Amino acid sequence: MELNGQSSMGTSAAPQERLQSGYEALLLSYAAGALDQAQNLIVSTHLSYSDRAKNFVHSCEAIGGALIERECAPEKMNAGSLESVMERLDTPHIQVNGKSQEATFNDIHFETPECLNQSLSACKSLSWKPLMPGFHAMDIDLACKESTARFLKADPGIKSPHHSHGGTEITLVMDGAFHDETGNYKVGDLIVTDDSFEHAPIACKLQGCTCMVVSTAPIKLTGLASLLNPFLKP
Amino acid sequence: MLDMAQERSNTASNVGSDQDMDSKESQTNHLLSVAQNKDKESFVALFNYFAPRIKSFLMKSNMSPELADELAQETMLAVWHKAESYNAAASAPSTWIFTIARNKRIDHLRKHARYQTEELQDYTAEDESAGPSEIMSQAQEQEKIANALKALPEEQLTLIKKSFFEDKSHAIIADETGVPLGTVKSRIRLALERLRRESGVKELWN
Repeated sequence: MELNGQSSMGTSAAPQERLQSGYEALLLSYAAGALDQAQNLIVSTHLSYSDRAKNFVHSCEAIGGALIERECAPEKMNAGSLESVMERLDTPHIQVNGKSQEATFNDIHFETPECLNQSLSACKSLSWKPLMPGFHAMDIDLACKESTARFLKADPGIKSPHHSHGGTEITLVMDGAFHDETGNYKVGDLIVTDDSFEHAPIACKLQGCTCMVVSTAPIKLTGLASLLNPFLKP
Repeated sequence: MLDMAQERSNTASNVGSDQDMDSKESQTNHLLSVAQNKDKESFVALFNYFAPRIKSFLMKSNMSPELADELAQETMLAVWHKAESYNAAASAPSTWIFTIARNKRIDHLRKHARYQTEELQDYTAEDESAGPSEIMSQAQEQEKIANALKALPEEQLTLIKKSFFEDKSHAIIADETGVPLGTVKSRIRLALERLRRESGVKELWN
């Protein structure tokens, strides 16, 4: 399989445009409830940084509402369903309130939004492991079989090897910043890449960069760095 | 003359009918009446209109009619309990009820797979000062979205419907339809752009 940008796309759309399409399609899937647990978590975390993204998701939910009314021909409810619900109305409702978690985690040096804290608190161990020179990784154990989630920390000024993605990779900047061929990314920015995409991110010279990364498949290195690939499998 | 007026008002108070519930204003009023007064009559009207549609929505993702019925009941039960948190200035009733049904579906799938459950949060933008005009603009916006949906090219509408109904990732949709993933995503973007343009309420989108 060819790993460069053009092969599987069948389109010459500019990378920025493809990134934007991927981003919007992801938010739509989130609103539709079609993402897996790890993907849900990274998108939720992104939304806590961005009102714009929240509004976008909300508009997609309005599409969902419209579809329920216009495209879902009513299916007769079973006999007794209404009665069964009516009987349950007065039973006290146990509100499972997500307690506000002011959690701190020993090895995490950046701020984590509340929705993320809940998942991090459930993790057995959170610790940085060296990945390759200049990089550390911290696995976030979500028991999600479709995707893996981890934090990836790059030292200041480090350039990551050119790589493409065997599946969908979602990256959210948690601390510092990075840039690549497509632009500059700061805290709260979310980038979605798929197998049509190849890039070589460079971490901010002063602060380095820590990202949350959710991927459906291990990344593939391209070029010379591909020789290293077997050693990088998680 | 008097009789006709009388008859008209009788029809208007026939809360259970679909005709009545087709108006967003009436849906909103029923929902607010549940929120504020725990009004069971309004709840029955909401149930009769929405439960069969939620059941239909759930069955589209290959769920058995029995299970879909059960989750539609749970959705409506949650509508009753959470009605106070409904913000009419932020969402049309069907949008809000859709998010509850969606979360019930996610919740069910996770439990089924023995995953830790965690509902999608309610991201409704906070806006406490909701005047009636804002409430109507939400309902109207949704009306416009609904109309714009009908006008989408078939290939775009199909993708939007698949995204919502079949609970599938775009990669799987691409696989099944034989359309390249990049094309799936750009068609979705085109569809969203069009909906945004035709619903005419830009600030909601960006």
